[in-house]
Amino acid sequence: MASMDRQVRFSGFGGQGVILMGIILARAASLYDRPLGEDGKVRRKSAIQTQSYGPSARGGHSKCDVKISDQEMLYPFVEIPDYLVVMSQQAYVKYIHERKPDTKIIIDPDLVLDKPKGDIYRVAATRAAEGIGTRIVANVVMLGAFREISDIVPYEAIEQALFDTVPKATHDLNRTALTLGSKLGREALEGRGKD
Amino acid sequence: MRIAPGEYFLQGNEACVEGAIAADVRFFAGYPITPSTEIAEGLAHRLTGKDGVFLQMEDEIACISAIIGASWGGVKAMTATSGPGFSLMQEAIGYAAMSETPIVVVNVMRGGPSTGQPTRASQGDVMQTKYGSHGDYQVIAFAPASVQEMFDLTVDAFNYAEKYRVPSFLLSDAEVGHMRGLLTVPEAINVVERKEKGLRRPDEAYDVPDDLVHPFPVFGKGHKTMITGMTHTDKSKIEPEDVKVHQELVKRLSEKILRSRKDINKWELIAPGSKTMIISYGSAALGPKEIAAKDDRIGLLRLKSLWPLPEEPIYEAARQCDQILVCEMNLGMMYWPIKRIALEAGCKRIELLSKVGGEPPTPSEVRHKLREMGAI
Repeated sequence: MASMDRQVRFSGFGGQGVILMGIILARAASLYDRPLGEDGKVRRKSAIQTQSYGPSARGGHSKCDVKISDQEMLYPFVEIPDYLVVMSQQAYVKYIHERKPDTKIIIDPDLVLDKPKGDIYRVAATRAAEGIGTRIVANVVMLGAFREISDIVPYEAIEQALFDTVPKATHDLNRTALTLGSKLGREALEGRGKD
Repeated sequence: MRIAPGEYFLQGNEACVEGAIAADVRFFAGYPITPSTEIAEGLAHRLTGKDGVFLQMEDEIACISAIIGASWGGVKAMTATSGPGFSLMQEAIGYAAMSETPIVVVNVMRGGPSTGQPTRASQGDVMQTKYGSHGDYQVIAFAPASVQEMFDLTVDAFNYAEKYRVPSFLLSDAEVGHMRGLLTVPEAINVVERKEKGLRRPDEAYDVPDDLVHPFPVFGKGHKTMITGMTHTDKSKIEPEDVKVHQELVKRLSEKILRSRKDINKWELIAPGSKTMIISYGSAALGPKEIAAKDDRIGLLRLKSLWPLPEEPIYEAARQCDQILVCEMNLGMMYWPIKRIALEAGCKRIELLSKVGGEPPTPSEVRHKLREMGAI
């Protein structure tokens, strides 16, 4: 079987939790995604998360890459993403050109001013997070939407990795954010190309 | 105390912390510096007084001096740093080599010279690790390329430091230190304990068959103990004017490492016998690894240890191929000793893919270079 790599890039500004999105996705793929192959055997995935950030932690650009492979990881860095998640105008300008014609682009339309063409999914994650009380979980809303749109890992795997990663006292809030994101992701899939 | 066997999703620097704990580190002195800070942070959580000591020092000279002292106090000791911090440590690295003090120094390499690129990866310190202090000496250095190797090679760094009574280095970089991935912690981990003087265990004589490494007289155990950076005899008598004593000492310090190359050196070989071999290490080797795994015209020798120089695997790779491409994230450092060995082995063409700026060479950049060489 030929190996299959999926490359994902999350981008935004420092403080949004962009890097955490990648950590949760890569953790889910590494530890909790065990699909059964055609031969009935459990298949492993390998996932690596890498990041780049400027010397200033907040307000500057932030980028987090995840590469997921069906086999042993060889080159763990993302070159051209299959999925590009954009949560700020600055990140949009910086990363929008690093894509293929079929790269799926998921943007928060309240934070990205441009109206790009291509395979675009609009997920108003920050507004939705404010709707459930705090924009601090905008990243988890967006992660839920990303999971729904990409279907790279099962929902249960993401949820488990999320709970491993965030403090226990916030689990209910984060679960609400993740399911809300899934719903927004489904809507974005359905509403694709309609505007 | 040590992490339970099993699977974990960790950052490279966190895996280094777990490797150090698994190897029985009991003392860490550090000063935070990007991109190595997570190692100090992790060990601050783990060495809380009961299980060991964590100290934040005033600078990196103090850090390495403190771990040398702690090692002579009988515990396994380490520090972690990067860039300018590593430069500050150079004098004391020579002192540790001369006094034959087992210490582990982790250097998560970033772009230099000077402050350079604090958040970006480089491999600019590989020569400094071997040649940064004055005088003739040898060290041991490993170059991890994954989260797993940040764990495994940290354990090895401690083991070889003890076995050969020598400063031992983990030369990571910002990419490997900060990447997150799967760590598998095995049930059994081989940990080399200090070869103390006069323990009189029945198997003591078999610990280190190489008699160039003397057992360790530890403070507080009844031995007359003297430590010095000055030229001294095997009985630690200071003899700076004695030509023969100096010759014997300095030659032994080098010989005890060089004659043990086969024991120390580690490497990964993909598609040996290919017409074109890439020789690389650390995160620079990952692009080449993808190519070597997918293209049968190309092989890879990935060096997991850099010092002492792995002459034998380089010679063997060079003997069997037509041309070699060395990939590294500096302007050409390991290229020169590799070229020397390859020429001795009869390989005529040794090219360099050098990339500075903070990112490892991508597979497409490596392919471009291989096309130039007519290899693909």
